[in-house]
Amino acid sequence: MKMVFNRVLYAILLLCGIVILNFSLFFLSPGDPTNLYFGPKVKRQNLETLRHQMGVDQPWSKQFQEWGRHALKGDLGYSWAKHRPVRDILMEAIPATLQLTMLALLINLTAGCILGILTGVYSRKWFGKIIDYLSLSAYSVPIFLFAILFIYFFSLKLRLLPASGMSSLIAGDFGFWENLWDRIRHLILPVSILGLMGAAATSRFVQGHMKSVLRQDYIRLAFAKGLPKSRVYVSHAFKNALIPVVTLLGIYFPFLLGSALVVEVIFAWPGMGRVTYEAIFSKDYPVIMAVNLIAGLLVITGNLISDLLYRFIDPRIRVK
Amino acid sequence: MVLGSMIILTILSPLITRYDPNAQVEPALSRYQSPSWEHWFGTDQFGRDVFSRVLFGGRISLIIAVSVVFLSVMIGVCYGAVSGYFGGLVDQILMRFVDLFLSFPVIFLVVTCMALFGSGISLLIVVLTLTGWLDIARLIRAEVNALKQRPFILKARAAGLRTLRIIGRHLIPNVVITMIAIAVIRVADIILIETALSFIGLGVQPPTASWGSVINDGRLVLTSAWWVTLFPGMAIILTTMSLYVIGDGIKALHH
Repeated sequence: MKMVFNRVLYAILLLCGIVILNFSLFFLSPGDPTNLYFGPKVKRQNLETLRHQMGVDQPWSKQFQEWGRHALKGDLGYSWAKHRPVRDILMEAIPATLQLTMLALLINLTAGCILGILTGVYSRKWFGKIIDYLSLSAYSVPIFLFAILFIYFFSLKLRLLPASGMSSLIAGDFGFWENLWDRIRHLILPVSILGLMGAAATSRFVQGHMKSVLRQDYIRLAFAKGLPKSRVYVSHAFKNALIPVVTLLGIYFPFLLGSALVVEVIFAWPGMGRVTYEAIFSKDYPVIMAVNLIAGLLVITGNLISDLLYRFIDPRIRVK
Repeated sequence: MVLGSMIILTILSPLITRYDPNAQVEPALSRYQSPSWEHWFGTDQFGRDVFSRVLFGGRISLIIAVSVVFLSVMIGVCYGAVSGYFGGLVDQILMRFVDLFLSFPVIFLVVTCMALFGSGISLLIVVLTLTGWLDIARLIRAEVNALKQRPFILKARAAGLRTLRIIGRHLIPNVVITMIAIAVIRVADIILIETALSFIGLGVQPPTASWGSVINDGRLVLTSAWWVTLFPGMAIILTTMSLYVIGDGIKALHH
Protein backbone atom coordinates (compact mmCIF):
# COMPACT_ATOMS: atom_id res chain seq x y z
CA MET A 1 0.00 0.00 0.00
CA LYS A 2 2.85 2.31 0.74
CA MET A 3 3.99 1.79 -2.80
CA VAL A 4 0.65 2.83 -4.16
CA PHE A 5 0.70 5.93 -2.04
CA ASN A 6 4.16 6.79 -3.28
CA ARG A 7 3.09 6.44 -6.85
CA VAL A 8 0.05 8.64 -6.34
CA LEU A 9 2.09 11.31 -4.66
CA TYR A 10 4.59 11.22 -7.46
CA ALA A 11 1.77 11.51 -9.94
CA ILE A 12 0.46 14.64 -8.28
CA LEU A 13 3.91 16.15 -8.35
CA LEU A 14 4.15 15.42 -12.03
CA LEU A 15 0.86 17.12 -12.59
CA CYS A 16 2.07 20.26 -10.87
CA GLY A 17 5.16 20.12 -12.99
CA ILE A 18 3.07 19.93 -16.11
CA VAL A 19 0.96 22.87 -15.12
CA ILE A 20 3.99 24.99 -14.40
CA LEU A 21 5.57 24.01 -17.66
CA ASN A 22 2.42 24.87 -19.50
CA PHE A 23 2.15 28.23 -17.94
CA SER A 24 5.74 29.03 -18.70
CA LEU A 25 5.22 28.16 -22.31
CA PHE A 26 2.60 30.80 -22.61
CA PHE A 27 4.82 33.38 -21.14
CA LEU A 28 7.65 32.54 -23.40
CA SER A 29 5.57 32.95 -26.46
CA PRO A 30 5.85 36.15 -28.40
CA GLY A 31 2.95 38.44 -29.01
CA ASP A 32 0.17 39.62 -26.89
CA PRO A 33 -3.20 38.01 -26.30
CA THR A 34 -4.90 41.29 -26.94
CA ASN A 35 -3.86 41.15 -30.56
CA LEU A 36 -7.02 39.26 -31.24
CA TYR A 37 -9.34 41.95 -30.22
CA PHE A 38 -8.29 45.14 -31.79
CA GLY A 39 -7.15 46.40 -35.12
CA PRO A 40 -3.85 48.15 -35.54
CA LYS A 41 -5.18 51.60 -34.79
CA VAL A 42 -6.27 50.97 -31.28
CA LYS A 43 -5.80 53.58 -28.62
CA ARG A 44 -3.12 52.81 -26.09
CA GLN A 45 -5.51 53.24 -23.27
CA ASN A 46 -8.03 50.74 -24.57
CA LEU A 47 -5.31 48.23 -24.95
CA GLU A 48 -4.23 48.76 -21.38
CA THR A 49 -7.75 48.43 -20.10
CA LEU A 50 -8.29 45.20 -21.91
CA ARG A 51 -5.02 43.84 -20.70
CA HIS A 52 -5.94 44.68 -17.20
CA GLN A 53 -9.30 43.02 -17.62
CA MET A 54 -7.74 39.93 -18.98
CA GLY A 55 -5.28 40.00 -16.19
CA VAL A 56 -2.24 39.73 -18.39
CA ASP A 57 -0.52 42.79 -17.04
CA GLN A 58 0.32 41.07 -13.81
CA PRO A 59 3.65 39.39 -13.24
CA TRP A 60 4.00 35.72 -14.05
CA SER A 61 3.80 34.37 -10.55
CA LYS A 62 0.75 36.38 -9.73
CA GLN A 63 -1.09 35.17 -12.80
CA PHE A 64 -0.11 31.66 -12.01
CA GLN A 65 -1.38 31.94 -8.47
CA GLU A 66 -4.66 33.37 -9.69
CA TRP A 67 -5.13 30.65 -12.20
CA GLY A 68 -4.16 27.99 -9.72
CA ARG A 69 -6.56 29.19 -7.10
CA HIS A 70 -9.38 29.33 -9.55
CA ALA A 71 -8.53 25.97 -10.97
CA LEU A 72 -8.56 24.31 -7.59
CA LYS A 73 -12.03 25.61 -7.07
CA GLY A 74 -13.02 24.18 -10.39
CA ASP A 75 -13.12 27.42 -12.29
CA LEU A 76 -10.96 27.08 -15.31
CA GLY A 77 -11.30 30.55 -16.64
CA TYR A 78 -13.18 32.24 -19.37
CA SER A 79 -12.67 31.52 -23.01
CA TRP A 80 -11.44 34.55 -24.88
CA ALA A 81 -12.68 33.46 -28.23
CA LYS A 82 -16.00 31.96 -27.36
CA HIS A 83 -16.99 34.13 -24.47
CA ARG A 84 -18.11 31.28 -22.33
CA PRO A 85 -16.66 29.78 -19.20
CA VAL A 86 -14.09 27.23 -20.15
CA ARG A 87 -15.69 24.74 -17.86
CA ASP A 88 -18.91 24.72 -19.85
CA ILE A 89 -17.11 24.24 -23.09
CA LEU A 90 -15.23 21.30 -21.70
CA MET A 91 -18.30 19.80 -20.10
CA GLU A 92 -19.92 19.66 -23.49
CA ALA A 93 -16.93 18.55 -25.40
CA ILE A 94 -15.59 15.80 -23.21
CA PRO A 95 -18.55 13.43 -23.40
CA ALA A 96 -18.62 13.87 -27.14
CA THR A 97 -15.02 12.83 -27.43
CA LEU A 98 -15.42 10.02 -24.96
CA GLN A 99 -18.21 8.50 -27.00
CA LEU A 100 -15.85 8.39 -29.91
CA THR A 101 -12.71 7.25 -28.22
CA MET A 102 -14.12 4.69 -25.85
CA LEU A 103 -15.78 2.81 -28.63
CA ALA A 104 -12.68 3.13 -30.70
CA LEU A 105 -10.56 1.85 -27.84
CA LEU A 106 -12.83 -1.14 -27.52
CA ILE A 107 -12.44 -2.03 -31.15
CA ASN A 108 -8.78 -1.23 -30.98
CA LEU A 109 -8.02 -3.58 -28.12
CA THR A 110 -10.19 -6.48 -29.17
CA ALA A 111 -9.30 -6.45 -32.83
CA GLY A 112 -5.70 -5.65 -32.08
CA CYS A 113 -5.23 -8.48 -29.63
CA ILE A 114 -6.94 -11.00 -31.84
CA LEU A 115 -5.00 -9.97 -34.90
CA GLY A 116 -1.78 -9.78 -32.98
CA ILE A 117 -2.19 -13.24 -31.55
CA LEU A 118 -3.14 -14.66 -34.91
CA THR A 119 -0.16 -13.21 -36.65
CA GLY A 120 2.07 -14.28 -33.83
CA VAL A 121 0.90 -17.84 -33.83
CA TYR A 122 0.67 -18.29 -37.56
CA SER A 123 3.61 -16.14 -38.42
CA ARG A 124 5.07 -18.72 -40.74
CA LYS A 125 1.94 -19.66 -42.57
CA TRP A 126 0.75 -17.68 -45.50
CA PHE A 127 -2.38 -16.23 -43.97
CA GLY A 128 -0.45 -15.03 -40.97
CA LYS A 129 1.87 -13.22 -43.28
CA ILE A 130 -0.99 -11.69 -45.18
CA ILE A 131 -2.62 -10.36 -42.05
CA ASP A 132 0.73 -9.05 -40.95
CA TYR A 133 1.20 -7.28 -44.22
CA LEU A 134 -2.27 -5.81 -44.10
CA SER A 135 -1.84 -4.47 -40.63
CA LEU A 136 1.50 -3.01 -41.61
CA SER A 137 -0.13 -1.18 -44.49
CA ALA A 138 -2.86 0.08 -42.24
CA TYR A 139 -0.22 1.27 -39.84
CA SER A 140 1.62 3.15 -42.55
CA VAL A 141 -1.36 5.07 -43.72
CA PRO A 142 -1.73 8.45 -42.10
CA ILE A 143 -5.00 8.77 -40.23
CA PHE A 144 -6.26 11.73 -42.15
CA LEU A 145 -5.81 9.97 -45.42
CA PHE A 146 -7.75 7.04 -44.12
CA ALA A 147 -10.46 9.36 -42.96
CA ILE A 148 -10.71 11.14 -46.27
CA LEU A 149 -10.85 7.92 -48.22
CA PHE A 150 -13.48 6.48 -45.96
CA ILE A 151 -15.59 9.58 -46.27
CA TYR A 152 -15.17 9.41 -49.99
CA PHE A 153 -16.29 5.85 -50.29
CA PHE A 154 -18.94 5.52 -47.70
CA SER A 155 -20.46 8.95 -47.76
CA LEU A 156 -20.04 10.22 -51.24
CA LYS A 157 -19.92 7.18 -53.41
CA LEU A 158 -22.06 4.73 -51.57
CA ARG A 159 -24.16 7.25 -49.72
CA LEU A 160 -24.39 4.96 -46.77
CA LEU A 161 -23.14 7.03 -43.91
CA PRO A 162 -23.09 10.68 -42.97
CA ALA A 163 -19.88 12.55 -43.54
CA SER A 164 -19.69 14.72 -40.49
CA GLY A 165 -21.22 15.96 -37.33
CA MET A 166 -22.72 14.20 -34.42
CA SER A 167 -26.32 14.19 -35.46
CA SER A 168 -28.39 15.09 -38.44
CA LEU A 169 -29.99 18.46 -38.83
CA ILE A 170 -33.48 17.14 -38.33
CA ALA A 171 -32.52 15.26 -35.21
CA GLY A 172 -34.70 17.52 -33.15
CA ASP A 173 -37.74 15.80 -34.49
CA PHE A 174 -36.60 12.32 -33.73
CA GLY A 175 -37.86 10.16 -30.97
CA PHE A 176 -35.45 8.31 -28.76
CA TRP A 177 -34.79 5.31 -30.95
CA GLU A 178 -34.38 7.27 -34.14
CA ASN A 179 -32.01 9.54 -32.32
CA LEU A 180 -30.02 6.59 -31.18
CA TRP A 181 -29.81 5.13 -34.63
CA ASP A 182 -28.85 8.48 -36.05
CA ARG A 183 -26.11 8.86 -33.51
CA ILE A 184 -24.85 5.39 -34.29
CA ARG A 185 -24.75 6.17 -37.98
CA HIS A 186 -22.66 9.21 -37.29
CA LEU A 187 -20.38 7.31 -35.03
CA ILE A 188 -19.58 4.46 -37.37
CA LEU A 189 -17.07 6.17 -39.63
CA PRO A 190 -14.89 8.00 -37.14
CA VAL A 191 -14.98 5.16 -34.63
CA SER A 192 -14.02 2.56 -37.18
CA ILE A 193 -11.16 4.68 -38.43
CA LEU A 194 -9.79 5.33 -34.98
CA GLY A 195 -10.37 1.75 -33.97
CA LEU A 196 -8.77 0.19 -37.01
CA MET A 197 -5.72 2.39 -36.94
CA GLY A 198 -5.28 1.69 -33.28
CA ALA A 199 -5.82 -1.99 -33.86
CA ALA A 200 -3.03 -2.00 -36.42
CA ALA A 201 -0.67 -0.52 -33.87
CA THR A 202 -1.84 -2.79 -31.08
CA SER A 203 -1.56 -5.89 -33.23
CA ARG A 204 2.03 -5.08 -34.04
CA PHE A 205 2.77 -4.78 -30.37
CA VAL A 206 0.93 -7.96 -29.41
CA GLN A 207 2.45 -9.86 -32.29
CA GLY A 208 5.95 -8.99 -31.21
CA HIS A 209 5.26 -10.05 -27.71
CA MET A 210 3.48 -13.17 -28.78
CA LYS A 211 6.46 -14.22 -30.84
CA SER A 212 8.84 -13.76 -27.99
CA VAL A 213 6.56 -15.67 -25.65
CA LEU A 214 6.36 -18.56 -28.09
CA ARG A 215 10.11 -18.74 -28.14
CA GLN A 216 10.28 -19.28 -24.45
CA ASP A 217 11.35 -22.54 -22.93
CA TYR A 218 8.22 -23.17 -20.96
CA ILE A 219 6.20 -23.24 -24.15
CA ARG A 220 8.52 -25.78 -25.68
CA LEU A 221 8.24 -27.76 -22.47
CA ALA A 222 4.49 -27.70 -22.73
CA PHE A 223 4.66 -29.01 -26.25
CA ALA A 224 7.17 -31.61 -25.23
CA LYS A 225 4.94 -32.76 -22.44
CA GLY A 226 2.42 -33.65 -25.09
CA LEU A 227 -0.22 -31.13 -24.31
CA PRO A 228 -2.62 -30.53 -27.16
CA LYS A 229 -1.69 -27.46 -29.17
CA SER A 230 -4.80 -25.53 -28.35
CA ARG A 231 -4.27 -26.07 -24.66
CA VAL A 232 -0.74 -24.80 -24.85
CA TYR A 233 -1.75 -21.73 -26.72
CA VAL A 234 -4.75 -20.85 -24.68
CA SER A 235 -3.66 -21.47 -21.15
CA HIS A 236 0.00 -20.69 -21.43
CA ALA A 237 0.91 -18.58 -24.37
CA PHE A 238 -2.06 -16.25 -24.62
CA LYS A 239 -2.23 -15.44 -20.98
CA ASN A 240 1.38 -14.51 -20.80
CA ALA A 241 1.38 -12.61 -24.02
CA LEU A 242 -1.58 -10.54 -23.01
CA ILE A 243 -0.15 -9.30 -19.75
CA PRO A 244 1.58 -6.29 -21.22
CA VAL A 245 -1.64 -5.41 -23.01
CA VAL A 246 -2.73 -4.10 -19.66
CA THR A 247 0.04 -1.56 -19.84
CA LEU A 248 -1.31 -0.63 -23.23
CA LEU A 249 -4.46 0.52 -21.51
CA GLY A 250 -2.39 2.98 -19.61
CA ILE A 251 -0.61 4.12 -22.72
CA TYR A 252 -3.80 4.56 -24.66
CA PHE A 253 -5.49 6.50 -21.90
CA PRO A 254 -4.20 9.89 -23.00
CA PHE A 255 -5.11 9.03 -26.53
CA LEU A 256 -8.69 8.94 -25.40
CA LEU A 257 -8.64 12.67 -25.70
CA GLY A 258 -5.71 13.33 -27.91
CA SER A 259 -5.51 11.21 -30.97
CA ALA A 260 -9.02 11.98 -31.88
CA LEU A 261 -7.88 15.49 -32.72
CA VAL A 262 -7.35 14.95 -36.40
CA VAL A 263 -10.40 12.77 -36.79
CA GLU A 264 -12.60 15.21 -34.95
CA VAL A 265 -11.46 18.06 -37.12
CA ILE A 266 -12.15 16.14 -40.29
CA PHE A 267 -15.51 14.89 -39.17
CA ALA A 268 -16.53 18.13 -37.51
CA TRP A 269 -17.17 16.19 -34.37
CA PRO A 270 -17.81 18.62 -31.51
CA GLY A 271 -15.38 17.11 -29.08
CA MET A 272 -12.22 17.98 -27.20
CA GLY A 273 -10.05 17.69 -30.26
CA ARG A 274 -12.06 20.24 -32.12
CA VAL A 275 -12.12 22.53 -29.12
CA THR A 276 -8.36 22.36 -28.93
CA TYR A 277 -8.01 23.00 -32.62
CA GLU A 278 -10.21 26.03 -32.57
CA ALA A 279 -8.61 27.35 -29.42
CA ILE A 280 -5.22 27.10 -30.97
CA PHE A 281 -6.12 28.91 -34.10
CA SER A 282 -7.76 31.68 -32.16
CA LYS A 283 -4.98 31.74 -29.61
CA ASP A 284 -7.45 31.18 -26.85
CA TYR A 285 -5.09 30.70 -23.96
CA PRO A 286 -7.45 29.81 -21.14
CA VAL A 287 -8.94 27.01 -23.15
CA ILE A 288 -5.56 25.73 -24.21
CA MET A 289 -4.33 25.76 -20.64
CA ALA A 290 -7.35 23.87 -19.42
CA VAL A 291 -7.12 21.33 -22.19
CA ASN A 292 -3.47 20.72 -21.50
CA LEU A 293 -4.19 20.35 -17.84
CA ILE A 294 -6.79 17.71 -18.48
CA ALA A 295 -4.64 15.96 -21.00
CA GLY A 296 -1.77 15.91 -18.54
CA LEU A 297 -4.09 14.57 -15.90
CA LEU A 298 -5.13 11.77 -18.20
CA VAL A 299 -1.60 10.85 -19.11
CA ILE A 300 -0.52 10.66 -15.53
CA THR A 301 -3.58 8.75 -14.45
CA GLY A 302 -3.13 6.38 -17.33
CA ASN A 303 0.47 5.70 -16.46
CA LEU A 304 -0.45 5.24 -12.84
CA ILE A 305 -3.23 2.80 -13.63
CA SER A 306 -1.17 0.75 -15.99
CA ASP A 307 1.73 0.68 -13.57
CA LEU A 308 -0.41 -0.52 -10.70
CA LEU A 309 -2.37 -2.96 -12.80
CA TYR A 310 0.78 -4.43 -14.18
CA ARG A 311 2.14 -5.05 -10.73
CA PHE A 312 -1.05 -6.75 -9.71
CA ILE A 313 -1.50 -8.90 -12.73
CA ASP A 314 1.98 -10.13 -13.36
CA PRO A 315 2.36 -12.91 -10.81
CA ARG A 316 6.12 -12.74 -10.91
CA ILE A 317 6.09 -9.24 -9.62
CA ARG A 318 3.45 -9.89 -7.03
CA VAL A 319 5.50 -12.47 -5.26
CA LYS A 320 8.08 -9.86 -4.47
CA MET B 1 11.33 -9.21 -46.92
CA VAL B 2 14.22 -6.93 -46.24
CA LEU B 3 15.37 -7.35 -49.78
CA GLY B 4 11.97 -6.36 -51.08
CA SER B 5 12.13 -3.25 -49.01
CA MET B 6 15.52 -2.37 -50.36
CA ILE B 7 13.95 -2.24 -53.75
CA ILE B 8 11.31 0.07 -52.46
CA LEU B 9 14.01 2.19 -50.92
CA THR B 10 15.38 2.95 -54.31
CA ILE B 11 12.03 4.45 -55.09
CA LEU B 12 12.63 6.74 -52.18
CA SER B 13 15.93 8.17 -53.29
CA PRO B 14 14.65 9.75 -56.46
CA LEU B 15 12.42 11.72 -54.17
CA ILE B 16 15.41 13.24 -52.54
CA THR B 17 17.70 13.76 -55.44
CA ARG B 18 15.49 14.83 -58.26
CA TYR B 19 14.28 18.17 -57.18
CA ASP B 20 12.57 20.15 -59.82
CA PRO B 21 13.16 23.86 -59.74
CA ASN B 22 10.59 25.73 -57.74
CA ALA B 23 8.21 25.86 -60.63
CA GLN B 24 5.30 25.60 -58.35
CA VAL B 25 3.54 28.81 -59.10
CA GLU B 26 1.95 28.70 -62.47
CA PRO B 27 -0.74 30.70 -64.21
CA ALA B 28 -4.26 30.17 -62.94
CA LEU B 29 -5.39 29.03 -66.35
CA SER B 30 -4.03 25.61 -65.76
CA ARG B 31 -6.10 24.88 -62.70
CA TYR B 32 -6.99 21.33 -61.88
CA GLN B 33 -5.76 19.61 -64.91
CA SER B 34 -5.94 15.90 -64.76
CA PRO B 35 -2.74 13.93 -65.14
CA SER B 36 -1.38 14.34 -68.59
CA TRP B 37 1.86 14.07 -70.42
CA GLU B 38 2.68 17.65 -69.51
CA HIS B 39 1.89 17.29 -65.87
CA TRP B 40 2.43 13.76 -64.70
CA PHE B 41 0.35 14.08 -61.63
CA GLY B 42 -1.93 16.83 -62.81
CA THR B 43 -2.26 20.29 -61.34
CA ASP B 44 -3.84 21.67 -58.22
CA GLN B 45 -6.09 24.63 -57.55
CA PHE B 46 -3.39 27.15 -58.31
CA GLY B 47 -2.21 25.43 -61.40
CA ARG B 48 0.87 24.10 -59.73
CA ASP B 49 2.27 20.88 -61.00
CA VAL B 50 1.38 18.22 -58.49
CA PHE B 51 4.31 16.05 -59.44
CA SER B 52 6.90 18.61 -58.47
CA ARG B 53 4.90 19.45 -55.39
CA VAL B 54 4.99 15.85 -54.35
CA LEU B 55 8.69 15.64 -54.98
CA PHE B 56 9.37 18.89 -53.21
CA GLY B 57 7.08 17.94 -50.40
CA GLY B 58 8.89 14.68 -50.17
CA ARG B 59 12.16 16.49 -49.81
CA ILE B 60 10.79 18.65 -47.06
CA SER B 61 9.05 15.89 -45.18
CA LEU B 62 12.09 13.67 -45.39
CA ILE B 63 14.47 16.42 -44.34
CA ILE B 64 12.30 17.22 -41.37
CA ALA B 65 11.91 13.62 -40.36
CA VAL B 66 15.56 12.77 -40.75
CA SER B 67 16.77 15.85 -38.87
CA VAL B 68 14.36 15.24 -36.06
CA VAL B 69 15.36 11.63 -35.73
CA PHE B 70 19.05 12.41 -36.04
CA LEU B 71 18.91 15.01 -33.31
CA SER B 72 16.69 13.04 -31.00
CA VAL B 73 18.85 9.96 -31.42
CA MET B 74 21.96 11.98 -30.55
CA ILE B 75 20.36 13.31 -27.44
CA GLY B 76 18.54 10.16 -26.54
CA VAL B 77 21.51 7.85 -26.91
CA CYS B 78 23.84 10.00 -24.82
CA TYR B 79 21.25 10.47 -22.17
CA GLY B 80 20.20 6.85 -22.09
CA ALA B 81 23.74 5.52 -22.15
CA VAL B 82 24.83 7.73 -19.30
CA SER B 83 21.77 6.92 -17.30
CA GLY B 84 21.93 3.21 -17.94
CA TYR B 85 25.62 2.90 -17.34
CA PHE B 86 25.89 4.80 -14.10
CA GLY B 87 22.77 3.39 -12.59
CA GLY B 88 21.92 4.24 -9.03
CA LEU B 89 21.04 7.78 -8.11
CA VAL B 90 22.07 9.35 -11.39
CA ASP B 91 19.88 6.91 -13.23
CA GLN B 92 16.95 7.63 -10.96
CA ILE B 93 17.19 11.37 -11.35
CA LEU B 94 17.67 11.29 -15.09
CA MET B 95 14.82 8.92 -15.58
CA ARG B 96 12.47 10.91 -13.39
CA PHE B 97 13.21 13.85 -15.60
CA VAL B 98 12.32 11.81 -18.63
CA ASP B 99 9.15 10.64 -16.94
CA LEU B 100 8.12 14.19 -16.35
CA PHE B 101 8.41 15.04 -19.98
CA LEU B 102 6.85 11.80 -21.09
CA SER B 103 3.84 12.63 -19.00
CA PHE B 104 3.09 15.36 -21.38
CA PRO B 105 0.61 14.40 -24.00
CA VAL B 106 2.87 14.76 -26.96
CA ILE B 107 0.25 15.78 -29.44
CA PHE B 108 -1.02 18.58 -27.31
CA LEU B 109 2.44 19.80 -26.55
CA VAL B 110 3.44 19.88 -30.18
CA VAL B 111 0.23 21.53 -31.19
CA THR B 112 0.46 24.09 -28.41
CA CYS B 113 4.03 24.98 -29.29
CA MET B 114 3.20 25.33 -32.93
CA ALA B 115 0.32 27.60 -32.08
CA LEU B 116 2.20 29.76 -29.66
CA PHE B 117 5.44 30.26 -31.41
CA GLY B 118 4.26 30.56 -34.95
CA SER B 119 5.00 27.83 -37.36
CA GLY B 120 8.23 27.49 -39.21
CA ILE B 121 10.06 24.45 -40.31
CA SER B 122 12.92 24.90 -37.87
CA LEU B 123 10.42 25.32 -35.08
CA LEU B 124 8.69 22.15 -36.12
CA ILE B 125 11.97 20.30 -36.04
CA VAL B 126 12.84 21.66 -32.61
CA VAL B 127 9.51 20.77 -31.10
CA LEU B 128 9.41 17.28 -32.56
CA THR B 129 12.96 16.65 -31.40
CA LEU B 130 12.26 17.82 -27.90
CA THR B 131 9.31 15.51 -27.60
CA GLY B 132 11.04 12.71 -29.42
CA TRP B 133 14.25 11.97 -27.64
CA LEU B 134 12.61 10.69 -24.48
CA ASP B 135 11.46 7.41 -25.86
CA ILE B 136 14.83 6.73 -27.38
CA ALA B 137 16.57 7.54 -24.11
CA ARG B 138 14.43 4.99 -22.34
CA LEU B 139 15.09 2.26 -24.83
CA ILE B 140 18.82 2.89 -24.96
CA ARG B 141 19.00 2.91 -21.22
CA ALA B 142 17.40 -0.50 -21.10
CA GLU B 143 19.87 -1.80 -23.66
CA VAL B 144 22.83 -0.35 -21.83
CA ASN B 145 21.62 -1.81 -18.60
CA ALA B 146 21.53 -5.21 -20.18
CA LEU B 147 24.92 -4.77 -21.77
CA LYS B 148 26.51 -3.51 -18.61
CA GLN B 149 27.10 -6.93 -17.19
CA ARG B 150 28.60 -8.45 -20.27
CA PRO B 151 32.18 -9.68 -20.02
CA PHE B 152 33.73 -7.28 -22.41
CA ILE B 153 32.52 -4.33 -20.43
CA LEU B 154 33.67 -5.83 -17.20
CA LYS B 155 37.05 -6.47 -18.77
CA ALA B 156 37.30 -2.89 -19.87
CA ARG B 157 36.52 -1.69 -16.41
CA ALA B 158 38.93 -4.13 -14.84
CA ALA B 159 41.64 -2.93 -17.17
CA GLY B 160 41.00 0.42 -15.61
CA LEU B 161 40.28 2.32 -18.75
CA ARG B 162 40.99 5.93 -18.05
CA THR B 163 37.88 7.84 -18.77
CA LEU B 164 34.40 6.51 -18.66
CA ARG B 165 34.11 8.01 -22.06
CA ILE B 166 36.38 5.36 -23.41
CA ILE B 167 33.94 2.85 -22.11
CA GLY B 168 31.38 4.87 -23.92
CA ARG B 169 33.36 3.99 -27.01
CA HIS B 170 33.01 0.34 -26.23
CA LEU B 171 29.44 0.46 -25.12
CA ILE B 172 27.89 2.65 -27.70
CA PRO B 173 29.05 0.78 -30.80
CA ASN B 174 27.19 -2.18 -29.48
CA VAL B 175 24.03 -0.25 -29.10
CA VAL B 176 24.33 1.07 -32.61
CA ILE B 177 22.34 -1.65 -34.34
CA THR B 178 19.35 -1.24 -32.10
CA MET B 179 19.78 2.46 -32.49
CA ILE B 180 19.57 2.27 -36.26
CA ALA B 181 16.48 0.09 -36.12
CA ILE B 182 14.81 2.52 -33.75
CA ALA B 183 15.90 5.47 -35.85
CA VAL B 184 14.46 4.09 -39.07
CA ILE B 185 11.14 3.38 -37.45
CA ARG B 186 11.10 6.81 -35.87
CA VAL B 187 11.63 8.45 -39.24
CA ALA B 188 8.46 6.81 -40.44
CA ASP B 189 6.61 7.88 -37.31
CA ILE B 190 7.76 11.45 -37.66
CA ILE B 191 6.72 11.54 -41.27
CA LEU B 192 3.24 10.51 -40.23
CA ILE B 193 3.11 13.10 -37.48
CA GLU B 194 4.49 15.88 -39.62
CA THR B 195 2.09 15.21 -42.45
CA ALA B 196 -0.80 15.14 -40.04
CA LEU B 197 0.26 18.49 -38.64
CA SER B 198 0.68 19.99 -42.08
CA PHE B 199 -2.71 18.66 -43.01
CA ILE B 200 -4.34 20.49 -40.16
CA GLY B 201 -2.37 23.60 -40.93
CA LEU B 202 0.03 23.53 -38.01
CA GLY B 203 3.03 22.16 -39.76
CA VAL B 204 4.69 23.32 -42.89
CA GLN B 205 2.96 26.47 -44.04
CA PRO B 206 1.74 27.18 -47.55
CA PRO B 207 2.93 27.85 -50.19
CA THR B 208 5.66 25.43 -49.23
CA ALA B 209 4.65 21.98 -50.17
CA SER B 210 4.49 19.09 -47.80
CA TRP B 211 2.70 15.86 -48.43
CA GLY B 212 0.21 16.71 -45.74
CA SER B 213 -0.66 20.15 -47.02
CA VAL B 214 -1.01 18.95 -50.59
CA ILE B 215 -3.49 16.34 -49.40
CA ASN B 216 -5.34 19.06 -47.57
CA ASP B 217 -5.43 21.12 -50.73
CA GLY B 218 -7.02 18.29 -52.57
CA ARG B 219 -9.45 17.38 -49.88
CA LEU B 220 -12.36 19.49 -51.02
CA VAL B 221 -12.17 18.43 -54.60
CA LEU B 222 -11.66 14.76 -53.94
CA THR B 223 -14.44 13.70 -56.25
CA SER B 224 -13.28 15.73 -59.21
CA ALA B 225 -9.57 16.31 -58.80
CA TRP B 226 -8.63 13.06 -57.13
CA TRP B 227 -5.05 13.26 -58.27
CA VAL B 228 -4.15 16.02 -55.85
CA THR B 229 -4.87 13.79 -52.90
CA LEU B 230 -4.01 10.41 -54.26
CA PHE B 231 -0.39 10.89 -55.24
CA PRO B 232 0.98 12.45 -52.08
CA GLY B 233 -1.04 9.89 -50.17
CA MET B 234 0.56 7.07 -52.09
CA ALA B 235 3.93 8.67 -51.53
CA ILE B 236 3.40 8.74 -47.80
CA ILE B 237 2.18 5.18 -47.65
CA LEU B 238 5.02 3.81 -49.73
CA THR B 239 7.64 5.70 -47.83
CA THR B 240 6.43 4.85 -44.36
CA MET B 241 5.74 1.28 -45.23
CA SER B 242 9.19 0.68 -46.64
CA LEU B 243 10.75 2.38 -43.66
CA TYR B 244 8.85 0.17 -41.27
CA VAL B 245 9.81 -2.92 -43.15
CA ILE B 246 13.45 -1.92 -43.15
CA GLY B 247 13.33 -1.13 -39.47
CA ASP B 248 11.70 -4.42 -38.65
CA GLY B 249 14.19 -6.20 -40.83
CA ILE B 250 17.11 -4.66 -39.00
CA LYS B 251 15.57 -5.58 -35.69
CA ALA B 252 15.11 -9.16 -36.84
CA LEU B 253 18.68 -9.34 -38.01
CA HIS B 254 19.87 -8.18 -34.65
CA HIS B 255 18.13 -10.96 -32.83
